[in-house]
Amino acid sequence: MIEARSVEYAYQEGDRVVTALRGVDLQIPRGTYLALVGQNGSGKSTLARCLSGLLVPTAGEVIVNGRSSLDPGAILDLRAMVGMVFQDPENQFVTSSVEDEVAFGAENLGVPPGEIRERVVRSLAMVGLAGAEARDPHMLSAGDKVRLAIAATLSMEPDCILLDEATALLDPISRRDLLALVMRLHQQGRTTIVVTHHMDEVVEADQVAVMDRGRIVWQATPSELFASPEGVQALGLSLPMSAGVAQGLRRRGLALAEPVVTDDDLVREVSQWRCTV
Amino acid sequence: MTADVIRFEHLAWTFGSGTLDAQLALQDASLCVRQGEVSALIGPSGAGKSTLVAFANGLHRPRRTGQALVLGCDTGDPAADLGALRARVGLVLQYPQLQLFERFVGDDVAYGPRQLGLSRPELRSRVLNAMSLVGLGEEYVDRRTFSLSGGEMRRVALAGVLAMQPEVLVLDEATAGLDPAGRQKIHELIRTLRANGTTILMVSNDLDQVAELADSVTILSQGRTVASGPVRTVLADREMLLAAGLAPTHAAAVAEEISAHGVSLPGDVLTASDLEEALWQKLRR
Amino acid sequence: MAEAASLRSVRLGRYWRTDSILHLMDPRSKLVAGGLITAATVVASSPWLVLMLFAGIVSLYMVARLPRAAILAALRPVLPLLLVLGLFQVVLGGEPAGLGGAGIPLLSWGPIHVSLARLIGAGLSVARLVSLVLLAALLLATTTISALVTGLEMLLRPLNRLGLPGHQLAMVGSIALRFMPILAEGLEAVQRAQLARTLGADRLSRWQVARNARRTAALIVPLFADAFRRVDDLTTAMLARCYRGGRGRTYYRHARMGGTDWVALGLAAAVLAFALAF
Repeated sequence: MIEARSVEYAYQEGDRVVTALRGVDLQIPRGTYLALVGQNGSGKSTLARCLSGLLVPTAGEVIVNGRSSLDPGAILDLRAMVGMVFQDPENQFVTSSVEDEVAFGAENLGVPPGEIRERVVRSLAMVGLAGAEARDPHMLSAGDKVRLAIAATLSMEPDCILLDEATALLDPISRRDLLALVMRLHQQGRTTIVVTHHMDEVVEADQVAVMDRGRIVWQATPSELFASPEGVQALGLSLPMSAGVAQGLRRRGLALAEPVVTDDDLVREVSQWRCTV
Repeated sequence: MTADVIRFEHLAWTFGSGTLDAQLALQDASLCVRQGEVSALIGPSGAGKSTLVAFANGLHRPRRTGQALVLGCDTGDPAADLGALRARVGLVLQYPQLQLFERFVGDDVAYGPRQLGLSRPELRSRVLNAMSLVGLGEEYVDRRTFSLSGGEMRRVALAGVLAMQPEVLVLDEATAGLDPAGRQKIHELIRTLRANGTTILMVSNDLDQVAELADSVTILSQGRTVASGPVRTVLADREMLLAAGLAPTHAAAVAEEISAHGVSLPGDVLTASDLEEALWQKLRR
Repeated sequence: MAEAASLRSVRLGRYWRTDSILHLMDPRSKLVAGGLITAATVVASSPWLVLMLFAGIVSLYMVARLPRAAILAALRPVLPLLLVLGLFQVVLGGEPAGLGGAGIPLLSWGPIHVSLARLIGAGLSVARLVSLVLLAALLLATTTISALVTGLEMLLRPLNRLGLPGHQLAMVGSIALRFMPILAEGLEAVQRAQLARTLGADRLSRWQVARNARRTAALIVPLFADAFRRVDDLTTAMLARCYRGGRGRTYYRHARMGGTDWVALGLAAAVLAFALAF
């Protein structure tokens, strides 16, 4: 369970104070897939950093599995329990070989060397990078770099994986592959938090939290969120492709029975026509 | 005199040429952009797209093989006046944070036009105009360039090029990392510029975006041009796309899925509005 | 993202895995032996000795089974610097002793006299620098950053007793080395970006871009902004993976001194002794 209670975060930039979070309350039960969305500058990344113990809220608290950010001794536990992957993997790499990179987190946690080896092998296998142990991380393809960044957090055996726009710079095919990997890791029982601008990553989620100017303004399932196209527009989001098509058909006067969010929804809805026509 | 604003023929490029660690980036790349159109260059990561567009204003110049003609200027000619060419061809590169170098946003946007010998008020109005085109208000003029977010830097970089009022605009992955509203804004900008007669060459790996915006498209795969032509013709060729390492557009994939479920749709569905129209036609019958 | 992959190639500071004995050596012995050979290169006064050291270092690349391209790749980024330095030496430098009549000017032009001795002197300075660059690149090509940190940290352990943070020093040093190729790539990108918006210069030349002081500053600012951003990202990523210095840390790789290591150390010490003696 990951919980944010009235989390605020403000920082100094030059001579002005920037308030990035203005009281965020959020509960993420174990095993949930949560998509965190909102416009650039809405506070998503700051919230992500608070949840993973990288930033300590200036007011309020984050509680992960009973450990509170108010306890300075728990910060390291927070970081170990919520493994974070950032946007530009190129800048996340500390070492110069794939296996050392994966080992780094486990080394920091003081895991015995023998067990580190097992974790390295396991983590690399999970993301599909087995066999690349000796390569230089900077020589990997863009998609494989993100895989490595994920493996590097898996070696800490976190309860939760938090991806902060980790796939934003990938081409559509690589992004789809990565999304499939994230779904696999999620199905193994990990809490998964994805900060994203891509609605196709949102439709797969159990819950969507929409942020606007430092607050969570909407928390719902994807179908609830996308059922209100006007609300989606107002929040600076876009509709997933299929939901947009369904909306257009409804506007032309066609009565669709079910809410349409994913591609599968649309295909299912449309294929029923065959019987009635 | 042809109506081709950009014409690249059989270009090749090798990084680190002459050393043993040479990397072949382009082998046989050709591309044609006609006056006033939006043309897209697409291909998977590592296909050589950024290498190719660098020929558009002489950052790369043809060696031994191939020819690059831009606005009638042969950049392979050692006597070509590339300074003059760069005033007419604006190139927005991929990594915005490396393109900005002045301390304040206003100065950075003014960097290009300042070299044109404009009067002060003229310069200022150009700068503000370019900034408003990309959605940056006047309050950004005095913001520090290097404290901006990635999305803001991307827009400043674009404004800096627009302020030169180029006849040809080359955009390398202009919307990567932007939120949906930011992407929408860039899409509108591309449409506005096109309506005003600017010729645009956009690099993208997002076929859906290209299907929405472009008139013509060139597909690059492993340093070679594998297809080019009107966007509807080229993007409808699924076998070619797959061979080039690209997926069909999202709408095309869904249309295919629907057809596979027994509701056959026409094969030329590319965009979301095509899909909507095709489904509507199907139902009315 | 598109061209990042093709720009990346064998460069100074890249780790390059082969199964050579150099790759298998203990990082400590590589660091110490490297230090000894560096000292030998710096103190060597005889032209023959400098050339022999240079040849020795190049042959170590063969021992390391690195592609020959690695040698050129290591030198490429520093080539302009070496040329300028060599030129300065020819025009203004001193003359190495013991070259007899070689000090007679071959070419005189106003206050500038170019003699054979000066040419040799300039050549030696350049050869020394080339050797040092190659040695550093060799260390990075055969040792992963993790191994380097482990090795440095063990060597610096005596400092802990003096209250100096050995682990942190090792980490900072290794990461600084890691950043060299990234900065070199960044510089190229900044130059290109700037040229794209510059109307005056019509030739793609580093020299012209760097000529103007204002433009040079304009290169440095974004490069440093980029470097700071990268350092910031890296620090955050390290903290996210629970990095907290050397405390409570375990090590995936074990450094162990073997026979090869002692032989290498002995050889390096002999080389230094030889350089000091002649």
